[in-house]
Amino acid sequence: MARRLPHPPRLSTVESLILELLIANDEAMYGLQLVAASRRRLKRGTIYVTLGRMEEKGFITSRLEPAPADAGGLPRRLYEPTALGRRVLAAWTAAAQHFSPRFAQ
Amino acid sequence: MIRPGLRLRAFAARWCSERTLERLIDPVIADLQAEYAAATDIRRRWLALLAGYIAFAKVSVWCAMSGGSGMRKNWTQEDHSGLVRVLWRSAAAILCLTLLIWLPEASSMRYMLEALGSDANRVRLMTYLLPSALPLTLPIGLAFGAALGAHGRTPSRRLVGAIMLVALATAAASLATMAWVIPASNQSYRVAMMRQAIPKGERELSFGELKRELATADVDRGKRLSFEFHKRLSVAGAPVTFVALALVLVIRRRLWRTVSVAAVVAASFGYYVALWLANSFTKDGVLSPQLGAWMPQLALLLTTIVVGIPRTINRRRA
Repeated sequence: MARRLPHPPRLSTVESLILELLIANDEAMYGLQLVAASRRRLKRGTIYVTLGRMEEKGFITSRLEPAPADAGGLPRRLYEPTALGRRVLAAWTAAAQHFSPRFAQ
Repeated sequence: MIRPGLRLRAFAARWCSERTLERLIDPVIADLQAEYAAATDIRRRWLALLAGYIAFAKVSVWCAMSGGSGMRKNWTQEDHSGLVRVLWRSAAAILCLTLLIWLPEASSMRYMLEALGSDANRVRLMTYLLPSALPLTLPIGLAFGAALGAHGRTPSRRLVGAIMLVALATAAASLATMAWVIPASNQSYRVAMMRQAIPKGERELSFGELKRELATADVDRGKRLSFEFHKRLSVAGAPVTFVALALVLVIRRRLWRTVSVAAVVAASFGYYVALWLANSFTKDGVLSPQLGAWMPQLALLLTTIVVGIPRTINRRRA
């Protein structure tokens, strides 16, 4: 019996946008920075849900920034793409370019 | 000075798992605090607070609606499936009841239009009628959902708390509908129907307008306006009392499913008959507007307490 190939990792439009922004920016970014850089394509109320999901999938990694100088505030979380995230985005972009002429009719 | 968002975080910490707090709530609060600290004037600070609170509300709603991956603190799969069951059944009941009330009303509109010789857009008029059904269908539908969804099981205290939170949120939505949406849609309906400007009636006044009118109205009109004002507040709270009664019937009394549903139907009918009676009594001067408007709610609350008490007493005696 033919063995089924495992599904390739899936990437939604929002996830690919986040990866593009993170890769384009050399440094790690905050959630709000991503929202600002996306020109309103990302919403601040839902971005952390997507970022959390992407972290679970292994596309990005996060760490807390050093505690703010004025004590009392919560530290912000910084996000970076992982090697897997970069590879998945590259694969999806290549696939999109390959298929785009047919879809662009 | 307490930094903005810390109370919200403390509130969320009671409901959310460590992971949800760390990955979803804390980043939102951190953004709120950073934007607030960076704001140069009071207007920007308020805007930062507003944007932060909206983001927090969105994340909270997402946490409440998802939760399949253990997002909520100490929640079991049974709790999660119980809540989903109640929400789906409530949504189905609300939809069916709304259609049941709205469709006959919408179809009778055709005859009114013909009688008035009006060529108003029917689809738009039907849309205006829709909000009026909600204060009635939200509490009853939610109580149905709670009675059907929680029946035959022993829901945990967490699940009961979550269902009551949903009832509270529904009450807030109902209040907003009755305070602003229904008066505006009623007035738009009247104007569209008559094709000319018409002065607003009592039911077409928003909360703010009702208050302003109350300040200058004579005694008789003042009574009517006061009843209308308190009736809206009282009916907005109906989702909470209806759901409380449904849960008491199912959990404490462990009634059969049919009996529970019949009891919810009877309570709903009784509630609206009591409201109609209270309106008449207020008009006749037998009851004060405040007491008249709140009487059905008090009666329902009392019923819930009475229905819930005997089992507690029996348990203590045992």
